[in-house]
Amino acid sequence: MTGRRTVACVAVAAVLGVGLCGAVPAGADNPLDKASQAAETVAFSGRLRLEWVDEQGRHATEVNVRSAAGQVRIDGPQPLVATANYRYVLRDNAWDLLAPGDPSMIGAYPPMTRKYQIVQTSGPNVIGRPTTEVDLMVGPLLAARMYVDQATGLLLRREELDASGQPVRVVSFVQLSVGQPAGMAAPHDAVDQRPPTIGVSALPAPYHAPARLSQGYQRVAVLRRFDGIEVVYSDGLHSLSVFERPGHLGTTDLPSGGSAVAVGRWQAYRYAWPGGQVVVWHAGDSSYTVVGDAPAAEVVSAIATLPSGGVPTPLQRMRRACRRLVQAVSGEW
Amino acid sequence: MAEEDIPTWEEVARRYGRFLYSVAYRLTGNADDAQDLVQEVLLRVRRGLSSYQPGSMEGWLSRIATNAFLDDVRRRNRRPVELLPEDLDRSAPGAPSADEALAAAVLSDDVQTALSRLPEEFRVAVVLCDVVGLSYAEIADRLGVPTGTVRSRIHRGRTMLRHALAGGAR
Amino acid sequence: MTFAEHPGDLLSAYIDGELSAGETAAIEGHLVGCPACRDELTATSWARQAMRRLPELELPFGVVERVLARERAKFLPVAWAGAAAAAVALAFLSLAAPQSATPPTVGRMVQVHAASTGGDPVSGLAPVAVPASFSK
Repeated sequence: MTGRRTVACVAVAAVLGVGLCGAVPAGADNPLDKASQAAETVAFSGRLRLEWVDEQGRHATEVNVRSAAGQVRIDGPQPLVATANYRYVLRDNAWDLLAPGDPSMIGAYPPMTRKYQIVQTSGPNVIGRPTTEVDLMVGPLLAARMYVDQATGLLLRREELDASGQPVRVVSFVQLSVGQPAGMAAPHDAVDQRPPTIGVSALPAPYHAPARLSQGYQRVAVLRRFDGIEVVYSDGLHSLSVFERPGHLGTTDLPSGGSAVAVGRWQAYRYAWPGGQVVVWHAGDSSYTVVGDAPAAEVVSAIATLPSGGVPTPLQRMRRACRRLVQAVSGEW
Repeated sequence: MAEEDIPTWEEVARRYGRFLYSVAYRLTGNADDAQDLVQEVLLRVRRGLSSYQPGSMEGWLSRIATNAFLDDVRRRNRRPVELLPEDLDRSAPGAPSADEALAAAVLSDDVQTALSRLPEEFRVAVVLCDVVGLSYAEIADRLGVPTGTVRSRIHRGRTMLRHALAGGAR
Repeated sequence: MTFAEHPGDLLSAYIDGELSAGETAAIEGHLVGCPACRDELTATSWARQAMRRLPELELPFGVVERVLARERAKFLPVAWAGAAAAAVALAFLSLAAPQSATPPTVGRMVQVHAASTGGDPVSGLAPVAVPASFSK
């Protein structure tokens, strides 16, 4: 079933001339694209070290990773499985299939080279393996640095840096054995949680996430999620999901400990997670949650260009008046 | 009635946040000032919670909110009372026509706009009476004025409101 | 007792039930013979209702949080702050970090985001394998 879908997906992408299937960024020179293919085609097992920095300081943890038969499995506190087109998350002892819906509805990812200049050099050995170093520059600034295994094409180490050149997240292999891993089983009885996709070119009312955000983010997918929508943006390297839902957030729905940031004229709260940032706010009649994997300043800057909403249209005012009239007549006051 | 437990400060903040914000918004007429006022009230609640006597939490909170608001008004040295139009308390405009009855479905934004234009004294009296639900005696006590003054402020406040709404605050 | 003149300000007090029995009877006596005051009574009731029908407003989120955060920071004893920091560090470092601290909506959105986007599955998904430690 998975195989069939993959074939169909590749065919659709070929027909459309989009160089992606599912959610893999396109572009022949895209080091992530190559690493992604390597991760799915090379059988291996290993251990990853994840380090990240937030307001509370530097954190580190390690998780196991295995790959066989086109399936990458990460065994941390939250087990995950990735194939070329699917993402599975283990929840309550059952697998949720969360990958995007109809791949033909997903737009092309912007080429990485639109925003980043890619500089490749011979890199140092990482866990004893010769690498190619790939630096992603924005102007004179180093935004990310990757060390690609020369033998397998696997991404052995990836560093994300903020505008001041400080690493904010590093994912690196601390141990790697190339060869068939033991005990790999495909996720079974997965619950299909894939959402319906909406054409990427037009948003249904009343949503209004624009086609582009600042910092080079381009809208690549619109999906129905929860009781609203998820709009996915990419700058070729990082991605950003904007969840917009009607209605306000209750004050108790929020985790504590966030830092206040301004999004347009609204006050928002930003929280760090090991892979990036979450920003939550509400504006007008909608609430927004943005999850991004770029450094905090870039995420906040990108979402500043989201429409701020808030002013009811004449139609909304009229609807509200009508609702009140009905309430008055039915004696609900 | 069972004895009321004195809530913790955080419980007050969570449980009465909406109430406080509603009162604050009606008093100040805009979201920024209302948020500032709620914060000020919460800080005062923190200081005063140990002296709270179980009873009407809303009443107690509205007292703090009103005091904080009036302090703020004094601090900003706003004009205390604006002159009323000459004919306001003399004319007795006709009852609402059928059209005006439809206007009973008047948008709350418009009521708020009209309310915001009332001179402070009248706005406070009307809000304490119609939003907080205090008696005239409580309002008189709260504001330190005679009950007769409260009567007059509430009635004149309502008269100004209906004139503003009938005159098309929209 | 009845009013020779229009009761004016007393009309609101009458609607609000704030008059004595004598005053109430006097006003009612006046209203019978004064259409102008009856009209004013109706119009005043309308304004009063407009006020009372104003909806309760949703507190913009962040207001309470801001005060709570400020107060917590101010009153959190140093020892407690140290213990809290250690606990947070432990939670981050522990592979068995509890997931219960994650509010389902935000935590779930992080997962969904990771699933919706592509790139290298190893470096892209590894951070999601560590539950976000949003503390409630």
